[in-house]
Amino acid sequence: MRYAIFFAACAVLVCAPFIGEAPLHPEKIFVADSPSQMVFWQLRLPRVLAAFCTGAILALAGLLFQAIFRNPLTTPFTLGVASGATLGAALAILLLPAGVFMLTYLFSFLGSVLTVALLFTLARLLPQKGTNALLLIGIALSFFYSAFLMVIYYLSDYSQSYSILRFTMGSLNVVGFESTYALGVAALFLLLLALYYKTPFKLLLTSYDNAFLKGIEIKRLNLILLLGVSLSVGVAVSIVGPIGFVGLVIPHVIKLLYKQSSDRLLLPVFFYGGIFLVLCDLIARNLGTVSDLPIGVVTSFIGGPFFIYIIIKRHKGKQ
Amino acid sequence: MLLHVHNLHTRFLRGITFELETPQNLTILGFNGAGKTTLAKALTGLLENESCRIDRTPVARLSAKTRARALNYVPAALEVFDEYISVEEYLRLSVVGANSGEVERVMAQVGIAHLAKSGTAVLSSGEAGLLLFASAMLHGARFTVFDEPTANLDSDKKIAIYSLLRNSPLLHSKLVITHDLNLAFALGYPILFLDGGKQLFYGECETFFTPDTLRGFFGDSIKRVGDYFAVAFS
Repeated sequence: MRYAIFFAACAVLVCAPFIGEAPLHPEKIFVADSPSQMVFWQLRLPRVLAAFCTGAILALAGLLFQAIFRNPLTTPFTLGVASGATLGAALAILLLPAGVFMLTYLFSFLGSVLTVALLFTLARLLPQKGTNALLLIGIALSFFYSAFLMVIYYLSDYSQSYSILRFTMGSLNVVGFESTYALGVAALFLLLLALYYKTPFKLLLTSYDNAFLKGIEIKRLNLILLLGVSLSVGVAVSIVGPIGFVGLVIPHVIKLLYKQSSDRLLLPVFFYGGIFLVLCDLIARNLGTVSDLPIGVVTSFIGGPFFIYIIIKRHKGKQ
Repeated sequence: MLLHVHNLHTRFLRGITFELETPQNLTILGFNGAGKTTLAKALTGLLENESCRIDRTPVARLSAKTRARALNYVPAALEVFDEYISVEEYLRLSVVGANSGEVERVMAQVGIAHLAKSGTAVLSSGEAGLLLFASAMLHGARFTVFDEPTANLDSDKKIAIYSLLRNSPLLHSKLVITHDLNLAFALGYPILFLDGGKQLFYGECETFFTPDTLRGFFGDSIKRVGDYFAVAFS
């Protein structure tokens, strides 16, 4: 079963760049100046890779957040981190001259880091098992940020507000490799960081007390992992906008599939998170709508019902 | 190595003072809510304080690695967040002082070798207790605080754990929190008796188990029958 899924996933990854509205002749992708070459190298491949890296970042971020905050529902989205990044990016669009691309990353990153800092501070005020309260704070933060985003939206001019609107819907419409490189670096960074801290992370999966007693500096470890996640999620959100559900659904599905502890799932979650978004993007751009459906719509359409199904199935299994 | 506690005050504890040098041991007795677990957490650094010291350095200021080699706390109940972590994986994570080649041997000694591949989430409370004990052996800290190590165990397993407590070379100084007077008496370690956060008795085992001292603490609820102690229900 696992192997079958793995081969299917690889097939999706290989085939994805060849499927789309504009016909592509696989034999011509290496022929200089042919339309097929242009479409493949400038549009399809960067887009598929961007989707893969984004999905991988979001899924791995979800897995790490769930372990750190001790709650299967925490992801950068449910805790408001992604909304913070979105708000940062929107502020950058409003305040900065168009085209200063790196600064959008920076603002977005600041948005996510500040949110994590805020959550971290608030978490200390909560009683030890208060992750549900933290989740509610995250939701409240998300609403607060949405309101703030509305204010920015109303303060901006026509073209800015269009940019912001498109941005908040999430889009993988990248052209060329510039953004894909940034996403690739962010994804690789997060993966290597998680793999580097694999053993302390595994101790964290037992209990906080146990990890402490075995000589782990928990505050430091959490801070490093949370900053790593915020950085990568900040980069991902600043380029493709907020895309929900990947961080929630993928870790759960992979756990059910592999039945192993989370430290052994870092690579599978990374890989299948990427594949999931490639698949969602494939659907989004092949539905024949006038313009491409925002990717966030597709992930939510698939992710929402699927997630409910998983929760019910899990619940039944425990009875 | 010297564990030194001087005038420890927390929300529940009032001026606890004692000293223990490896390989000395201690039994900590007290009623429910007397502050035994709080004391254990303060000793091992889980509860920040300046009163507990290892060789004169407050536990809170030891480096994480030094602290882990010096101190360990074994809780009364097993807590594992990730349901897929197996018994063997849990034990491999516990190795601090011993070498990882000991894992199989310790599992066999404690009697959980057959559970090696089981998830920690499906263990019974007795099996979880055994796992925690095995984990403490593999951790091999200079001072190990056991919180009710024999609660939830069948009588034969109680005896096995008692014998490991006494004889395992992997454990150094042991501080045993218990409600079980028979265990306390059999171990024969010096006794620290807590009530309402205060230290009411700190001295030799034989002195504690004299009829007068016992009656002073337990009234008529405990009866001595030969070398054993029973709760006098009627």
